Amino acid sequence: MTAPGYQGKIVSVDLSTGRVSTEPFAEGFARRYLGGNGFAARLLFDRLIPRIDPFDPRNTVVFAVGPLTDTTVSGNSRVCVAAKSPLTGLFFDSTFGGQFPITLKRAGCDALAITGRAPAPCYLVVGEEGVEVKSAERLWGLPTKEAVEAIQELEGPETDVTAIGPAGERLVRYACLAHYWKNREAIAGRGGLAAVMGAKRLKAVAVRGSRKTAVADPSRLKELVNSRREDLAKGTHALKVYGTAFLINPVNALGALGARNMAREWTELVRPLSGELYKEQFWVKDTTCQKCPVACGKAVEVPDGPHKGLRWKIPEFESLYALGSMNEVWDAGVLVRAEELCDQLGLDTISMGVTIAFLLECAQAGLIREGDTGVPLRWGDPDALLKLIEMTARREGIGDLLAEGSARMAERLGPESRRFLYAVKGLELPAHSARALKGMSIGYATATRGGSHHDTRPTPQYAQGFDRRSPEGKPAFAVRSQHFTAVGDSLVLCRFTGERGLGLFLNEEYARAVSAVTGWDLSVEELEGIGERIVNLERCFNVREGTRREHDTLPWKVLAEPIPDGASKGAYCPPEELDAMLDEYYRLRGWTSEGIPGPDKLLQLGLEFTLSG
Amino acid sequence: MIAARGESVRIQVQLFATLSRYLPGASATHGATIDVPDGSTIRDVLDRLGIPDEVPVITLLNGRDAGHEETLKESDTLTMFPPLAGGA
Repeated sequence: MTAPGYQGKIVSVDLSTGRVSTEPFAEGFARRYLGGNGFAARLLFDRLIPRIDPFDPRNTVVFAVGPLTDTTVSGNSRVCVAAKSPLTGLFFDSTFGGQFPITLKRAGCDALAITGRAPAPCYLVVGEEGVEVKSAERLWGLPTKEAVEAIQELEGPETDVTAIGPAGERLVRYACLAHYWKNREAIAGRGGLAAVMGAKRLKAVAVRGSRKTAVADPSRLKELVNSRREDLAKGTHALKVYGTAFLINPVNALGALGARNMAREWTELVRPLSGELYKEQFWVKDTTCQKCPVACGKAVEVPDGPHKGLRWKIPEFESLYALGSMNEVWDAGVLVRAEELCDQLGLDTISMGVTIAFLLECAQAGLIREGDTGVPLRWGDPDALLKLIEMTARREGIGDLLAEGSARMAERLGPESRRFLYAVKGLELPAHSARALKGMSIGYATATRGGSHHDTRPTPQYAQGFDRRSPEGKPAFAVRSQHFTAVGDSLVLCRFTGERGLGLFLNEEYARAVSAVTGWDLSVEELEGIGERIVNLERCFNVREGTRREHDTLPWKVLAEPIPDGASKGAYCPPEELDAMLDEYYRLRGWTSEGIPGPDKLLQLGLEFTLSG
Repeated sequence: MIAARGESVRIQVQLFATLSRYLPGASATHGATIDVPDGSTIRDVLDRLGIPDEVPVITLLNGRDAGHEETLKESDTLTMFPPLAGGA
């Protein structure tokens, strides 16, 4: 099939045998699953048998682009990477940008599925003519940026590369993969997908190609893109100036910025971590992904202190929360170094930071002794933060425990530690407050990925006048938001340009964009239905792995400890409230009271094949 | 401009991100203390700070969402920032 918007090929590689196969897919398949996240969900549901260890060779990593990739819609250079996560044991997808996504599609590929385990460290080169498996013996152990550059030296500068770092090689459960292009980094951060690659002895994936994507109605697409240009510019202005770090002061002003492992969500002075400070004192230049006018990336240089002269990327809002406020490390320069370590070693900053914060609170409670670790375990200790990150990547000493993630650590440390755990389904929670934003309470509890802010979105909840505290309407909000992100991750479209360029929920603009590219006469209802199909399929995958209502829950502090001060003082989500929202959520979804998609719903969505499993 | 104290209220203003340029004077906390005529609305304060009508502003009064028609009282804190579009 070479319908507009698609290259028409799924490429499969078995690293155990070296076998590469290519298969087409029907237009109907594309119309039901769109691409990206949707393709990955279907491929993984079909190809994985339940209950395998995520490090088992039979796990499969999928890279998938979508119909909007390599078109003119702003922020279209995104790819979805997915596998069974070593952190959650469930379906997990993560996206990244830069240039790689476009080049993967230009290699003639809509999806790349990698299974098996190579006999020795390797990397893949995916081109229009096929896939080569090459030795990575001399690349093994390299930090991500060096690995990417080394492969570009070997394969040519027109090749785009994403690589795992030492953390992925050592199977750290939240290891990440990093791509670099023209000063811009592009990281698939969460879920430990790089560790799955590490278990396969797959150091990197390189892509090259020149096959463009056909668009059914280019002038209609151009008209749509032009009509959204001004709103996109206005809505992304703060991102353009400061990057995501601009959120630090406002979210703190809302009393919703977690600190000291969630002991508080408001701090008197957060300027040391703020976008304003980075802009004034650290900013070097803006960086951008291919085909995006926003340029939310920022290259920075540390102006003073022990890391003076260090040049790297600005830490994102999430990293400033996880590594910074959660550990009370209020130092912009130290956080650039922490970011550099995480990016180069290949570690998810959110899971890393929140896991360290969990460790610190356990130490504070006497559940773990400093003497046992050789590292001071105190809040606000920059040297300890940096040391713990390095030890985690090497699985050295206490790092071996940290590398397992906070949920597994809690199992080892005993029931007293469970009150300090800040994760759902094993995924540590991000910055958007589970207590202050009731939509995130139900959102985190029900998201496929667990504690993820890219299943249910916080963005609409920050709008002026939105009732953040009340549970009223939040289950419906979560359902709609999850369809939105599933489709967004299938197109595959950058969340920022999507939310600010096309809309905060699925609407006519999204339908028009897909129609203009594919030629399908697609309505908003149909698009919403695709989102619903993908979410239900992911849930079926998870249910098959054992997910039930008991896992759709929240951390102890969210259920039992109100925010103590600040503008969101008193906010939390007591169990009865969560239960009531969960009942409503399941009802809206057509799921049983155990959170299992009902047969009627599965039939309605064309997912009856999930019933035979 | 200093009005007689009985005719004005003293408030704290905080301006973040792209709005920080409208802050009267430099400040590490992005805040300033200003006196405004008694009965001033949030919109009046935005005008006084020179923030154009077409610039979108989220306004919090003492930490909670407040519409631009709300009036200010002595010791109120008015926090202003651009609409949030986070996600990283």
